[in-house]
Amino acid sequence: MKNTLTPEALYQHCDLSQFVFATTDDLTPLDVPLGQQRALEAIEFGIDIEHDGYNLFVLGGSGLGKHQLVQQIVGDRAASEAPRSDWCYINNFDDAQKPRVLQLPVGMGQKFRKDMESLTEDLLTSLPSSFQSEEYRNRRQEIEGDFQERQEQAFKQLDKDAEERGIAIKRTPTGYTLGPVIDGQLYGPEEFKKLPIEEQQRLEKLIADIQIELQDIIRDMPLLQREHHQRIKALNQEITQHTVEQLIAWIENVYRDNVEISNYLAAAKKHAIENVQFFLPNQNAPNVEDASNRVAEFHEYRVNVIVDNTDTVGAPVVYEDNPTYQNLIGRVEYVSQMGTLLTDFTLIKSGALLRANGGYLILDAQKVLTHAFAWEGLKRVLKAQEIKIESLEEMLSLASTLSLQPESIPVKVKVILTGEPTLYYLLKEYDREFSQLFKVAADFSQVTERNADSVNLYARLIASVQKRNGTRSLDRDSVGRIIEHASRAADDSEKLSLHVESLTDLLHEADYWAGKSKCSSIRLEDVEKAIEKRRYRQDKYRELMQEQIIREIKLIDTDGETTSQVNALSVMQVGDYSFGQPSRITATARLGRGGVIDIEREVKLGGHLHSKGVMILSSYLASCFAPDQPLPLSASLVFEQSYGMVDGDSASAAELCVLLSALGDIPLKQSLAVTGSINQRGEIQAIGGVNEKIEGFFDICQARGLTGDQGVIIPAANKVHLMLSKDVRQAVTEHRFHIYTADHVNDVIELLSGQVSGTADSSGQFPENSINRRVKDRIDQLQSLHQKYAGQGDDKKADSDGEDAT
Amino acid sequence: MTSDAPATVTGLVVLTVDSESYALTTVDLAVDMAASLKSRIQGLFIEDEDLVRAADLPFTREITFPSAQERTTDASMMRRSLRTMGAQFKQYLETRAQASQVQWSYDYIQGRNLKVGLVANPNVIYTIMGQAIYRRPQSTHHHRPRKLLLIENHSPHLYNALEVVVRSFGDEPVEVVRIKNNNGNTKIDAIRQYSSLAEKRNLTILELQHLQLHKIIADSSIVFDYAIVSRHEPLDSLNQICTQLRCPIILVS
Repeated sequence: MKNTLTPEALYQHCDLSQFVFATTDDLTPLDVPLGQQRALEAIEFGIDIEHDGYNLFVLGGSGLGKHQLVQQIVGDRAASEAPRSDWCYINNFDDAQKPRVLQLPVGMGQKFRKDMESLTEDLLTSLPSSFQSEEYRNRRQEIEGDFQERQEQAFKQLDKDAEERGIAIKRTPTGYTLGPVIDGQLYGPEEFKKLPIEEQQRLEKLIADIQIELQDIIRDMPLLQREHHQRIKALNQEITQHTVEQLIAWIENVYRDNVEISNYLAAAKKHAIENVQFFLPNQNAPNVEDASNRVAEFHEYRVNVIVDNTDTVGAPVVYEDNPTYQNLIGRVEYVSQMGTLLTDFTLIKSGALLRANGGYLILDAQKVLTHAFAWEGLKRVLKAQEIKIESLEEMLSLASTLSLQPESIPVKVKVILTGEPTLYYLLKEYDREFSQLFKVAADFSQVTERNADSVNLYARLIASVQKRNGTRSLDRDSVGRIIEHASRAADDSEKLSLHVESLTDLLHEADYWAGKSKCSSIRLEDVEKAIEKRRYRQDKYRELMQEQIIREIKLIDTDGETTSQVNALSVMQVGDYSFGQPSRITATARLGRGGVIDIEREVKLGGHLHSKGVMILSSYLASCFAPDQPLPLSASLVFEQSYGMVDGDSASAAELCVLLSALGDIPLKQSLAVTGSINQRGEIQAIGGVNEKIEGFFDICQARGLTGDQGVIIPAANKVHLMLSKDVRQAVTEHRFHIYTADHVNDVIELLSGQVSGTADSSGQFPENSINRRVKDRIDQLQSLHQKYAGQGDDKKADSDGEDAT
Repeated sequence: MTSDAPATVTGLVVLTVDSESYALTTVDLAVDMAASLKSRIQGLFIEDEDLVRAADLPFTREITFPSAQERTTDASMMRRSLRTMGAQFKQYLETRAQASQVQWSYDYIQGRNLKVGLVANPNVIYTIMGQAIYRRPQSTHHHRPRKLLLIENHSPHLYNALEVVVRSFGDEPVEVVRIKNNNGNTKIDAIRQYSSLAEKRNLTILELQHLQLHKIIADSSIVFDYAIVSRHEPLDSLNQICTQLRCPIILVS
């Protein structure tokens, strides 16, 4: 049923009488988000439930205030929870490549770190003093003396024995040699040969015997040396142990209840005793200042506090803005020393997952997914419930440096991802682990119902945003206008957009214009100006395209009647700004078997939805006009002067009408534009962007001068979406422009042609002179022609030379 | 081999070493002494003729240190080995002398250390004769007090030698066994100098009469680090001292 809409139906005004406030200063800010009850409940459920995999994905378009709301809810919740632990990495004295981890009560991490630094400083000061003591020097001297004596005694005795037997032991550059002596001089070969054979043999044997003894003494040297070293080492250990035990006793006492620290201290004590040389200065006596400086060198005794919750109230809430793999998991850093990359446990850095351990981690899903390995790393931690910090380079085998294998840290963290719905559904579809790990979806609504309650809540939302951003307060009129604008943004007069970011922007801009006007509060005209100026700033492309039409470069008729030509309406999107513009659709129809050809699709400029719309209208055509016989038709449809992609089915009603016009030779009014999709029964269905489309055609008509005949035909179902501009409403009020609604394609063609469409009787016949009858007659004519050519067996020719038969 | 020596430098410090007595610490000390006197230093590496001759004996073997392996040897092999050692000595002497800005020279001669060392030369102020300390490498850890034997016999450079040696020990405690002149008199100045040195350094001085000298050097339980001996000692006494003491000996003119 076709209908002409009254001006009242074109815009849903905000009833200001329902407001009891004068300005937003009188309003209490909203403490719960408007229209997000479902999401709110999901978030509360998600952070409450403690089972594995119940992490959250908060989905919704950008600008809905997801992040802010999540932080608020999670922050409130975390503040009421018990504080979590500090985490430290400490040296593993058994295997330095595998540092140990310590979980400590909050605040103890830093305390333990400082205590260990003090201990190291004490060791650096006290141990050298112990080794300078008189007691130590005396005992060491005793051992050294004993060693020297034993060493020398062995040589001296042999030397003496040999000398008594006439043999000298002489030192050579590389050892010792023996020879017979006479009068204090060694024998030469000549002197030796002069000796009797028996004497020669005796000396030779004697030398051989002494040589064996000498070899025994030399062989025993390392044993003697070892025994000496062991005695020195034992003495050093005794002195060290005494000093270390005295120094370490107080720290052991402080941490006696912590088994892990006690074990660590025992290992540190053992290590210090065994490696006392590291604590001793090379030359001078120790001084306190030097010891303080040297503490940093003693990595082994340092405590790397990787998570310090000292200043955290309750459970930690971490938002990682740059969720790279390293920033999430943690990393092992290196320092360059003499061209070599070195690392140790003090260079382990925590990631966001660890900092949030025991609490909540908020991440932007898109950022996680676009950083290499971050998503895989996150899932691995959530599955394993532990973090193993390893460098990415090592994980990917990109670096062959010796790295660390830090002990894994158990993790219990609630991860909250925020992201676009598309991302959520893509992950659901393609990542099986996603469903196991993110079981709670908190779906943010884009819009909410517009009724008396919600309008009042929206006014409070405006007040909240105003107060949060410190802008001027708004009067009732401006609040009402913003609410109307929210309906327009929602593309629905019965809904309100929940896009908080846009609302904030509008308030900022209205506040700016109020400031320019030197007003203390934001008035209606400030809001109007903000809306208008924003539109103006973004309106360049719309104006350019409109100019093309006005100058008749792009051909759009806005008066007269033409066959096979209709004005359709489309929406252009430039960034976040959209506007409507008319497009001319033309059709041809002739004998053939090609059906309806969508030229846009043929040249791959038509999207799937557009093709679908064309197929639906083909189907409608066949079922309506040739239910019992083939449709011997080759028709073509084209968006004239369209050089880009065309998608959507909102032009299918216009396409059907122009096709009927071509078939029935029916002139169509060019003063009207049509939008609406059709189904196979010819019913007109709702489309999107109805306001922009109407305003787009109106702007052209207005620029050319409104004739009073011009208007737009829209689906009846779109009536509720109308939130048209003041100009359009004004023109409609003055009957200079018209908005028609239609339920069926017959309504549309009647409006376009000014003729009766005609309803088929029980025998399937349409009334004489009706539009449908003329279409049907033409199709019958094509049938006859088809049969004629088919009889001549010249089907192929008819197909290929179709234009001759039309 | 000799470095260019300007004419202004007078006096000479001679360091004699052979395969038995070569030690880096002795070179260091000799260079320090030359520096303290602003004199030249001459390094003499003595190819021990007895050792070379004995190497040609058919049954002579060398027992290598520290592996205690046995290997055959002959005179030419021994000479090569000794020349290598001499070259090392020269290189170290050069390095140390240049570092201390001391003019130096080096010679490789054949003979016996004792004979060469005892040869008197009016230009030589100090002759340092290296001696093996019981045929073992010197320990780097001396925690016993250092021991010095000082045999006075009217040598004007004796005190300087003592001062240089004591300084080379750093802060370590030093015990000096001082054998007084034959007549038992010590000049007042010398007494003051010793007292002053004892105050500045960690030094104790044990004074003995000359009669006790032979008992001291015969006592093998007393280990000296250095002996500073006046050349005015009778030759037979010097011979005895050099033969019996197993430490570097500094002969002072």
